[in-house]
Amino acid sequence: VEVTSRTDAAGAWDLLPALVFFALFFVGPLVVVAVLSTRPNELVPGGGLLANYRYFLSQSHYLDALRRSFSVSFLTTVIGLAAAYITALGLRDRRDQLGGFAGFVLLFPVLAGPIVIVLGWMSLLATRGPINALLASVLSRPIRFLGTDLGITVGLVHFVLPFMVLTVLNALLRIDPALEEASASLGANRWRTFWEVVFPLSLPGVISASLLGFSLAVSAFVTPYYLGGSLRMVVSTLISQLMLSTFNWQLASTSAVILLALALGIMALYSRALRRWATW
Amino acid sequence: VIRQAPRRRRAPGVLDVYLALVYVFILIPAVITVIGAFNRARAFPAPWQGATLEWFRRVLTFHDVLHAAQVSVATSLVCASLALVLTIPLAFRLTRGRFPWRDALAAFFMAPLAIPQIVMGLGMLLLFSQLRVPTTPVGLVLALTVFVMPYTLRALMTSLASFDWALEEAAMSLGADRLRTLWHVTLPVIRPAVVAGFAFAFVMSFGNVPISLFLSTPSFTPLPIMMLTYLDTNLDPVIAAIATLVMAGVVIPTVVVLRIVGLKLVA
Repeated sequence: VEVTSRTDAAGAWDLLPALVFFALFFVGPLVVVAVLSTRPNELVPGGGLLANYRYFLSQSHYLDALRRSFSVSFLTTVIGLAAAYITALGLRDRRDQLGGFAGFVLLFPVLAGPIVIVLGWMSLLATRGPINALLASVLSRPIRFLGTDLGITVGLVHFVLPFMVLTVLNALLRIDPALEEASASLGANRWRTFWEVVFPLSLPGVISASLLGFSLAVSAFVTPYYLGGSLRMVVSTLISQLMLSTFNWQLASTSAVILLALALGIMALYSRALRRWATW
Repeated sequence: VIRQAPRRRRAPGVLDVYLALVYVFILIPAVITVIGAFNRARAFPAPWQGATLEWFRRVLTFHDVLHAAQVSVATSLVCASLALVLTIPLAFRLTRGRFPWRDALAAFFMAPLAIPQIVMGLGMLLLFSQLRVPTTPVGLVLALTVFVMPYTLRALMTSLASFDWALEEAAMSLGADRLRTLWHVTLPVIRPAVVAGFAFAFVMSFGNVPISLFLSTPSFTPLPIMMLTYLDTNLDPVIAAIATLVMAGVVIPTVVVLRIVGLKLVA
């Protein structure tokens, strides 16, 4: 047990500015959203604390967005994890040759910002764009990416991949190479060493990468806004529609709380289930 | 520990091809946008019709873009500085201090990374309107600062985690006071982290859309929101030219800075 020393307690004053700042401008806005999400509005004139939530869950337009947010993010996480794991394995093996440069290239789309990147996807995925031109020799008719869940998923996998690769890579680099050498010297082949030594030890990274991937995908705004369009709404684009076209701040807040619950709730459930399984 | 891991040289295998494809996938949207900015076609996106610099010429005489770029630079500079000022003492306390709730507090300051940005932007707008304060640039700056604080905090804490505190004690035992020690001993050691945190915070707030969406006003519109509005009504390569200039003028310099100061992306 650590005993708080006098100097530490006295020094705790320097926590204060950041704490006050966060209480006012991080917690404060979230509280206002939570409160406003229960207030009556033009579409839901009354009916108690949960009336807005009941209304949300009774409208097929909103439910459709909720379902799409979940399914597209789930699919993105699964594809992203598989792609990220193999990438991270490759980067780990080639660390000496590639150095830190490989990581910075991965980070480029993150630093470029979502709107710069989504412009590229709009060109690439267009019906007469380069990807369909490549596929034209194989397919009889072009694939519709823009305005479909498929297009959103492609954009989201691209969006989450750098974060997931770095998370898995971090976990892989923590594994002591001596363990693999020991496994090999005891006669295990590369495949068995991977499944029985490397993979189990990388599970924490797998868990964090999937949590991060899902949370980023479900929260994303720019990618579904441009690649899904107004017919393929997700909860985040629904919020912007409610704010900027319908001017219904209360239902926008209700949707925001539901998005928050989706982002944090799935993460909590999943990490609990996996932790139980991992310690079993 | 210097470990010479045995690495066999070999011909490119399946994994090398896979890695190359992943990097193509990662970079191709940016590359296509740049190509689109030089395309003579009047529409965006459009098939290649020959090269032109016309769209860049238009951007550089386009008042709205130049104004939005100034807004974005100013906002991002203020946000990154404010985030540093707030997180430097915090990083010291969270790395060095021993007190109950330390880990919970560190997690709390990282929490903006887990909250959908659009919800943070919405919340700030609603907070300002509930307080009957007009949504001035202040709301935008405050929300973006909260959003980038985890990045500066993480850069600083990673650096301080490996800081040798005996250096401070040595300086003080040689007669330096706290301030001199901080200025001459501690800050030079963590300077790369300060620069990396600042650069990262700057570029992340520069490119942000979801938070800025509800907090920009007609006279104070950051560049990404200006691009969003432009895209609603115009589909021409001007937008690709703006994106290209952002990459050349902001993103690539930031990558270079982060590389020089040696930002660590993995352990």
